[in-house]
Amino acid sequence: MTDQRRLRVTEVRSLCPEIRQITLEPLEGTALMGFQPGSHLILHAGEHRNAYSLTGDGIMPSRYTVSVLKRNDDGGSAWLHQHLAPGSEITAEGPVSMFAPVHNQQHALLVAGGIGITPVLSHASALAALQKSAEVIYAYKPHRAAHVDQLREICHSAGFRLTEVTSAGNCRKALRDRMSDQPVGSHAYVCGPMSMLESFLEIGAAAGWPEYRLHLERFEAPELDPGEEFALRVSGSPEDLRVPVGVSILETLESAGYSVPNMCRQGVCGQCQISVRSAGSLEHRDYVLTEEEKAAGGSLMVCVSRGTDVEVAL
Amino acid sequence: MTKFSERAQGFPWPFAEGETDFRYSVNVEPARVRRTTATGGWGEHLVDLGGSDYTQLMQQRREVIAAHPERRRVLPGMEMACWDLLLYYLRDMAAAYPESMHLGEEGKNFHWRNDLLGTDQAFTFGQEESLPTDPLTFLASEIPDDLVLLTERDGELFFDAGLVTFAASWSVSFNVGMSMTEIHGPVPRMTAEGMTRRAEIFMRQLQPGQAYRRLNWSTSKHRGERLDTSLETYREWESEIPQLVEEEDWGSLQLRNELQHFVRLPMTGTVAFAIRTYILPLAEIREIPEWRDQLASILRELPEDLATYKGFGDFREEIVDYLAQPADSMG
Amino acid sequence: MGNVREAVDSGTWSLPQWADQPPDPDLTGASFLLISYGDSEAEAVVQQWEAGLRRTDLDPPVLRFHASAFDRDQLADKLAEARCGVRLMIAGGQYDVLQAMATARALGLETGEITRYATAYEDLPLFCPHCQTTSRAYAEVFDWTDCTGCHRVLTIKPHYSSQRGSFLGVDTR
Repeated sequence: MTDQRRLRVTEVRSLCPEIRQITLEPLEGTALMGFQPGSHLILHAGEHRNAYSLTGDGIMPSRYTVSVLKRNDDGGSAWLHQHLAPGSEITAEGPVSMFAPVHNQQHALLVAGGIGITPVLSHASALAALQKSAEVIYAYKPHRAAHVDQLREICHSAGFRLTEVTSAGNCRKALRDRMSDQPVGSHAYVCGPMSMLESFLEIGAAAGWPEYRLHLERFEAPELDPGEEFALRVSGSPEDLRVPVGVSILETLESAGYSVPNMCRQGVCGQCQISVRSAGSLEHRDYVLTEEEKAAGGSLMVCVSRGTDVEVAL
Repeated sequence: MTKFSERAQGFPWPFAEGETDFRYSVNVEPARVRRTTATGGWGEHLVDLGGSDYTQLMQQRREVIAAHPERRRVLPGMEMACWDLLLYYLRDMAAAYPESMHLGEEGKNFHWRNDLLGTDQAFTFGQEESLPTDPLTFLASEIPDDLVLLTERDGELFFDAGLVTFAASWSVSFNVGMSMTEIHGPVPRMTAEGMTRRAEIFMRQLQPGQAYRRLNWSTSKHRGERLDTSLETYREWESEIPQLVEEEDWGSLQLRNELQHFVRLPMTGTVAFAIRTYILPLAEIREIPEWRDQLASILRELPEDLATYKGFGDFREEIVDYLAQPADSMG
Repeated sequence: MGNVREAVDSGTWSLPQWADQPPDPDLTGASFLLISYGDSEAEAVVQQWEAGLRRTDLDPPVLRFHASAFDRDQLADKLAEARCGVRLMIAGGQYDVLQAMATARALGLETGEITRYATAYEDLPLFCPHCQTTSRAYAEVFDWTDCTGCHRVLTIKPHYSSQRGSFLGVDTR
């Protein structure tokens, strides 16, 4: 778990219906930590802990900015929209980096869908500040084009190019067109809805991009199979637990009274990583561990992954 | 009054109390925690100025930098990481040594003063022309640590920048750009036991701003105070140990200890790997009963390949015997 | 680690790994840049690669060229024209192939996008840390050879840097 700190809201601005930009400053006498482009901040929103991408370039920031889309099914974003006003204070953790640029890239292709623009804006700003080159594809619904003016301005920099699209069909067409025409040594980054991530991977592979050049920031994960029931032990505890069908290891541990750091609960954020002592088999279903780490079997994201006869160390 | 020399008092003794055998391990612990030893202690700060030899050490470092520009290597794309490193260390030192080190900050403008070396420099973050040298050289001229920057690509760590003046018979100009696995190929047991891999996983999990450390010991490749035993100058020091062996001058053989720090730099995610080198001759170690006995027992037990790698291969029996002699029999 | 006492292969050196036969093309690529250096044997390998690619259903764009020896600027020009998704395939003597590979990496390709095959091992790139020169050495690992930069006699160490595309030499006379 990362350190917690209190931050003060200095501005709340409506970018478009349902999306508000929140600007945060440190309390007196403290400095903000710089961050890698694509990092997120975890905000304590009432009883929720939600992650939001920082939109700035991360270079010696004097303030943090995040853009919050109000989701119907998400109590955290509604809480932030309702409670935050200039002067209010909020608890934050991070910044946490899970969508960082590859430092030796020759060029970047940045792809954003909807509110997925937030980490992409951070990448684009940093590249512009360092006078590097990049190309951006931004897909949005016409009435919800958050940050589009800011993005257009950044893309006026030398070595930048922007493609704006407003339909899924045009987005696939833009991806096909642009992914086949990037310089050698490029890396591509996408943040957007599931369907866009799938198109990005499929079109990228067809255009010959190796997996290590394709970088995804997921803010939603697909529905998971409920799996089978299996046995679970916690090292040092005599008790044998059962993980039922459709229930996660994380939920099973919590019901048994264990406290495990966690956040997204869908295999994306990496906070609930737990050491595995032994296991009959492991079924990794997260998006955090590398294939190599999954094969090594030393740890598990307990919010989504399953197995048989698993012993974990807390 | 204490009976131990200043350098013995601050020497980070690499073996835990009661440890009688040694193998490579990923022996990491959080940084900035003071450890007490039989002679004194170490480890309170990220940067150890070392005491009265600080200015002399920095003089030695600056001379090597001036004479050997190839000791600084920065691959394309690492420029920002060097600034990230500079800022992290200057802020740390100003906090650790408020009596002698000061960092004024206003937005991206800074003013660094180091009273011990007489440095007084204003600069703007990210603007190389605002410093008398590049940021890596500037920092390396203020602190005794050798500096290496590691970056992550596709699950592997690469040595993509560094300024190293006190290397233990390796070459920064050859190693730059190599992966950890490539670099550690020739170290017995490191790759073989998956140690490189585990160290790598550890470093990749470091969070922004976090700092850890480990100790790595061997024997020095030379007699005397000079720390520059890099491959570039091999011919200048390679005959010193054979000569020492011929003369059976075991008391002049030096235990060489690296205090290594790992810091995840916040703005670039680069892992800074800083190496502070300490040397202590066996003649001094023999004056310290706890250290003398422990070193003798560890040497006796060390497997052949490790003994060779640590530099004791051809004469460990002689060293064990030397350590067992009473110190005053030397006269 | 306790008392791990098993026999350990302390000979884990870092050396470039070579295939006995020309490896097959990596068909996940969208286009291919094929290069042969030196003799007609290397050219034949590359022609064989091209024929293999033509036979596939993909029939990807293929650019092939031959040069008598490695030339950095020539390779840089070809890679500047190529697009991300390209696979580089190189055949030739060890020195030329390793130097070409290091150049391609410096220009943005990763090892996974490069296929290489050595048709001869009579030379190798040797880096001298004393004078910073990389020489074409007609020698093998553990041999002694002269540095072309400073004329020191170097031992060739079994230590290879894929970033430099060269072996390490040390003056240990």
